[in-house]
Amino acid sequence: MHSFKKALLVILGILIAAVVNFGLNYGLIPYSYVRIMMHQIKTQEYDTLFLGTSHGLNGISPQVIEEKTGKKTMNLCLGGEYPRDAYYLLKYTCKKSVPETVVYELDPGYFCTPEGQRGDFNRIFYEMPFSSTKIEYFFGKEMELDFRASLFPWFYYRNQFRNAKEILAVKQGEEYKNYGAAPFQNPGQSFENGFMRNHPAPGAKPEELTLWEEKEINEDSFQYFEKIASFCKKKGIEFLVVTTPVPREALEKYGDNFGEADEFFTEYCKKLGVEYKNYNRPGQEIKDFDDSLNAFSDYEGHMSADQAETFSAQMAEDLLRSKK
Amino acid sequence: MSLISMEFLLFVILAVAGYYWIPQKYQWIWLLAFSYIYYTSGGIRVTCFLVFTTLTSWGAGVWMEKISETIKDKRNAKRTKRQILTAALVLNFGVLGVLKYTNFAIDTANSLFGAEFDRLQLLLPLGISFYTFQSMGYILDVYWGRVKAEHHLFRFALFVSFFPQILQGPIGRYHSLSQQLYASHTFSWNPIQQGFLRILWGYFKKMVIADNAVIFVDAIFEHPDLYNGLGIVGVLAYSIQLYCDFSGGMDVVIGIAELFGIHLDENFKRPYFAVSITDFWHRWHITLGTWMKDYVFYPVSLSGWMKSFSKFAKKTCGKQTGRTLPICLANLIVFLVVGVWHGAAWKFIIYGLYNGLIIAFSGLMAPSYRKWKTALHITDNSTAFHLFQMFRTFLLVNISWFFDRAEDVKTAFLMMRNTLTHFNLGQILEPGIEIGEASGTTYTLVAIGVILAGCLLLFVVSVLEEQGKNLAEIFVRQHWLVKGAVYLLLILLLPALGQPSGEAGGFIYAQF
Repeated sequence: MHSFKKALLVILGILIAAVVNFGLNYGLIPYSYVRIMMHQIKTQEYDTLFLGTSHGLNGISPQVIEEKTGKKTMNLCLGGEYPRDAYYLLKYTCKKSVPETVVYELDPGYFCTPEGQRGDFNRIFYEMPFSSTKIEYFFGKEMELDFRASLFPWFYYRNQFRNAKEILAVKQGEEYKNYGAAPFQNPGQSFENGFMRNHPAPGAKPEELTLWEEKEINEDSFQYFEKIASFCKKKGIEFLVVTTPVPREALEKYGDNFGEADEFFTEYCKKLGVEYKNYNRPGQEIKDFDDSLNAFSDYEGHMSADQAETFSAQMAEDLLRSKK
Repeated sequence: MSLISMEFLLFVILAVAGYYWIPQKYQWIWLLAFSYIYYTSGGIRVTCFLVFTTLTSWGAGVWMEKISETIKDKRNAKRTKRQILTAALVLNFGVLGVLKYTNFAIDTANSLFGAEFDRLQLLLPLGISFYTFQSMGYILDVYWGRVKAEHHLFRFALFVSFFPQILQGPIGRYHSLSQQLYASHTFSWNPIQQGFLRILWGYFKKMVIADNAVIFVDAIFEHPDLYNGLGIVGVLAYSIQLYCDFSGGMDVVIGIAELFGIHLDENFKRPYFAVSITDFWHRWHITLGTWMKDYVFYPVSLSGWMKSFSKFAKKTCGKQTGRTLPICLANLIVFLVVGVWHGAAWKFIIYGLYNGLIIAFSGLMAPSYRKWKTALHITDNSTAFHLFQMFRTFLLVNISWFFDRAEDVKTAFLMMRNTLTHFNLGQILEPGIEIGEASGTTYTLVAIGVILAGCLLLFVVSVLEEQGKNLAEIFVRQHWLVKGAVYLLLILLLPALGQPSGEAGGFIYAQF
């Protein structure tokens, strides 16, 4: 009996901790467009799916692709989305319906750096609705992480204490309840029409970019990339790989490195039997595309909304061509 | 599997739940299975080294005991046992030496002779220094007849591989650890509560204090030119980081063992309250210190050549100095080994020798110190003198940390010099100079506040413990509401004030 009472106290303690934890998650983790994306793939069916990084999020307009190809398109690219995350996103999407085409936006930097611990790196897991894929994702990713990442998701947002009031106000609003994008409309950047519309300010641009480093390869990234390829093959999905354009200035400065990366991934994709299109290769033409630094936010290649639409139109044409 | 990972947490929960659920006679097998699962998660190839050490140590122990029983001629038996012991020591320390120090030897040869030997890609099994020392301690104990050899291979395998302690100690002794590992344990709430509290306290020290301090440490030690006025801040932050990281890791390890009803040896006893460097080493990494004392210091001190040296020293330097000199020499050898154990770099050798020299010098100067104290009317009970000794020791320890943390010996000296000549605390807040950034938290006064508040709490706890209070037992006697509140507070402080830990669990000593 004594032991039973103690066991009950332990359970009570865990419950109290869980309630406090839930409250902190709710109050500190800001509303994110990842929630909208998750809701969309949970409730809607897509023909074309884009996976990848922030370059894809900023550079691929699903609306333009959809208009040109006539295929319902979803952009699931996110900053900090490593191939491991992309793999589970793809699996989760396929629960609702299997797309015809998956395009992976490849940033070589994600294949030679460790998966980071940035504030949003665990966002996909946090926002993914409970499902067997989420459990699989937990075992595939969360298990190796600091236990605070999965037990206390607010850990990465603990410095949001000062903004808790605003976060709560947004979460109690209609936009949040209806998965609306209004809270993400800012002068410099806005999440609209399924991608991040960038409005770069003129002036000096950040030069930091993660260059390809073959000696530093992240084996997990390659392993999960291959998992994506074989998953698509198994499901009969057409799998394509693209690298989005970077500013001319970046190519001039780091041309050799971009060349090495292109050579490596071209060979690698060839071995996997996957079509790879790198828009930074010499001779690649994008109709009406401004490849000067003015049209980008940085050297890394986060393009402006206008250029993203121009680029997406070209990519849609290329997609149609590859179908033929 | 790092000590702060989710998988480790679940692994421990599963291990503890199963341990008390299965019949007690199988508990040690359960522990062995989990220990090997844990170690194998780091790779099969590294496990081969663990198996090698286990087999050679076990075989040597059993063989030596058999020799004692079967060979009647004591001299003959001793000679054969010595050969077996030597073979086991050479094999195991040889593996450790080759894996850990080959590249150091290559680098040294390259820089000394201008050679261009390529570094080798060698595996370095995690915890190899710890389990090798633990196993070799056992073999030496069997050789000296202090313990009976373990005949059951799998039981012995558990002694070598017990999972909470294998990566960063404490270095266990066979006589105190083995019986606990093989004994049956009945579930009881008290060790669970105490163990859980100890684990949380360890994580608090690591995640809240050490991981906040590490950003300052890394910024200052990795950019000594940029932060040339902050050498003292860097070394103080490092003294906090190192202690909280290592002792925090020990708290986690000891707490987990406690959940199984197993008491591991303590590795820390408030080291910064030490009144001398000798005292410091009685309080810091205690199990390494006692290992060195038992298996290096005494054998060296009592060896034939040391006795000859002692006679020579007494003859040439007088009785008093002649008696002290061999002890000083033995201490120097011990600390040279301690330095080498810490890492394959000259800075660690200097670090070890620095400690050894201070202890040796203190030994030689002891009679003079006594005279000075009498002349100055200083009594050992004086609080002021006690505080002075603590401050002096802390200062000396911090000087050694420069060698331990700086990139190399040259940088260590440069930083020490800058500390005296370029001291500028204002650099910490100068615009344009950033002291790191971690997950969106720019390091500002808030972060310094967290470190100071954490240290204050640690100080209060340490003072109470130094006064002989057993806080864990006091805690267990509290009302459940108080206990629950303490648990909840500690749990929430880990994400609220802690910083993300680096790779490999971020524990410094898990890399040995």
